[in-house]
Amino acid sequence: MSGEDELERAYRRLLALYPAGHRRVHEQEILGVLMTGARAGQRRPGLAESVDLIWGALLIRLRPGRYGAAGPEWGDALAVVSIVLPVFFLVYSAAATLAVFSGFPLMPRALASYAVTQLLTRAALAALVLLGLRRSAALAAGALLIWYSAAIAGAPNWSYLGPEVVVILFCLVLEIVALLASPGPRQGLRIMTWKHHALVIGAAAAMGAGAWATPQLRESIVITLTAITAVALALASPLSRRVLALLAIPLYYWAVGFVVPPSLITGPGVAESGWEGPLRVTLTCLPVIALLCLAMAALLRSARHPRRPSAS
Amino acid sequence: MSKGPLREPTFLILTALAAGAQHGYGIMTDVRQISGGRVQLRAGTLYAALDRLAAEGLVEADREEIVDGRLRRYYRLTAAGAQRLAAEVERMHASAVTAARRLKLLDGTA
Repeated sequence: MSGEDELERAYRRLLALYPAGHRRVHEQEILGVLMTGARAGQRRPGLAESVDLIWGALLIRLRPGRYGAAGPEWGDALAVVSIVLPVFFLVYSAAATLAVFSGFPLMPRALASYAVTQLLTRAALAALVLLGLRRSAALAAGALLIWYSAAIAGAPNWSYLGPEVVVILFCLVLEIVALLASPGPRQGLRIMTWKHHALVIGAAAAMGAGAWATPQLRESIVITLTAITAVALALASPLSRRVLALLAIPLYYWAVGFVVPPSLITGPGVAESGWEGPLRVTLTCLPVIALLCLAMAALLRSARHPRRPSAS
Repeated sequence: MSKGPLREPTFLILTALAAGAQHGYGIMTDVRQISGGRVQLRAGTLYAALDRLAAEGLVEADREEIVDGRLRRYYRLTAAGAQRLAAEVERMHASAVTAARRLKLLDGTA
């Protein structure tokens, strides 16, 4: 195989990341631009060039409406999710912090300081979203994601990575995607009525305030409210069903965190082996594996789509 | 469509097309030349920008050619694109005049 053929094949592999609709129209043309700009004897795409093509594919895939990555209806659902997540976690966190402070007025200083910092960062993210500052909010969510990830990476034992932590990490990733791929939080605010806001705030406050209760009572509160919310979303409208589909994975982890007894997750004697329980690992990884499989299937289907150069 | 200031790569792409229809590689070389070598667009960035500009109705496909067995698609400014570029030029000009006045660089305006 000549160097030119090798380079073209490498470019085609990168272009396979673009949506099939975009490739049908633009693949031959972009390939022409790339091959024209290639250095003599070049056999592989450069690193910067590869990153640029991957970034371009991501931008086009995340842009709502044009190539079927996210139609207008999914764009609206993402816009609603971009409001719901930060508001929910702010109210939940505020209620839980108040409940814990009232129960333990002499809370250790470090713990109190961590709780307040966490509350302030969530308040900042919610404020940016409610002000409609999409890019700033996405940057703030990215910073929070890095902060939490660093905290997890620095933890002495990765058993810390339970479902409840995965909920936060996944919600932050979802929040970034929702902010960038939707028409923006302003659209979410236009769609949501006061009843929707009341439902989110009420559910979050009740779940957060459950921190004062016994673990069993708290589990009952959280599970009941999560189930009611999920059923309400499933029944209300096509848009709310899309919102439910987007929130399915966080709700799964939320349920795992509260429903599955910790003894079943960790298991006696497993901690000593350094492996924090096969069930825990399975439950934690299952949706991520399912999501990766779906993404791979979509990518393969997209890559096998017949290509033909045609006018836009 | 966003009415805020255009980002520099967008401004340069529209400027490149203001002289007439161009294909992708032509736009890339023209942008490099217009910016004095400061902005070097790559294919991924260029086509993401063209996709967005086409969705906003600022540019559109003009014609296609096959050169050395490779497809070339030419793009041109739409009337809305020319209007948007003109508005941006006006905005930048007004800002530049204000800055020059305050620096007392314009005769008789200080």
